[in-house]
Amino acid sequence: MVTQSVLSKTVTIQYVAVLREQAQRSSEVLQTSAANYLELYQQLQAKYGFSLAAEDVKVAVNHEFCDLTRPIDEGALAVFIPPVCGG
Amino acid sequence: MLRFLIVDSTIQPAELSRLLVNNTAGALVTFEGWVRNHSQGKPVLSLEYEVYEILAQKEGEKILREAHAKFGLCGAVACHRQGHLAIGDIAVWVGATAEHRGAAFAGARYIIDAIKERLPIWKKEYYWGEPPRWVLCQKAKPLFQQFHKNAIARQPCGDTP
Repeated sequence: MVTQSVLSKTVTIQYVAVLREQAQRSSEVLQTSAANYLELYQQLQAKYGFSLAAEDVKVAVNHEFCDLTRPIDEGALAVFIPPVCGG
Repeated sequence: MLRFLIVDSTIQPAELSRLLVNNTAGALVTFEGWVRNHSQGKPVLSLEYEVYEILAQKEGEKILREAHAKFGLCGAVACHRQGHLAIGDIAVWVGATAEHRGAAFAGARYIIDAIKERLPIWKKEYYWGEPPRWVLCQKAKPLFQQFHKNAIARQPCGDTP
């Protein structure tokens, strides 16, 4: 239990576009022991049934594009980015 | 003058062009992206653009700085709509000024291409008689496309150089 709480990080997830619709929420605060954002996405994919594979998304952490393999930052705001389609 | 804008209301090209007035410039090239009434052979009723504003603003400004440095532009302005758009609306506007037309054309092209490839903006198409779909402007992956063909439409994203 102690080990779990030491490893667990608090992260706020903001959902956009198709991910927001599939999660049926705009944001949530989670405790996670995921090693990185890739693992966190895979956990959320299993939870909400996201149709986008991890290889199709990017992540922004605290409003900066980051590599999915970046370790989870305590207190971070993470936004998983589906393939973009502006213009 | 480098300015990137995200707006909720009708894009006004004349106002945006005025931002670029500069007596050292000999050329202004502008691009307008319009909402068309069809996509992939299907009639389209309207579009919705969702924008991750904070990141799109930062990335949009970065694109303009890149174009300015790369092509020696005198100025560059780009504006993207968000929210629900009707057929014929301007979805995106780009203007680039330079001493000569070559750099202005190249700069405008660079900016619109980068906007389409890099900005965290998503498009949802609304159709007659079927549910709306998010459009993913990337090369289709057959397995992926088959897996969630009812939720998402993949399509080629504009011209290639």
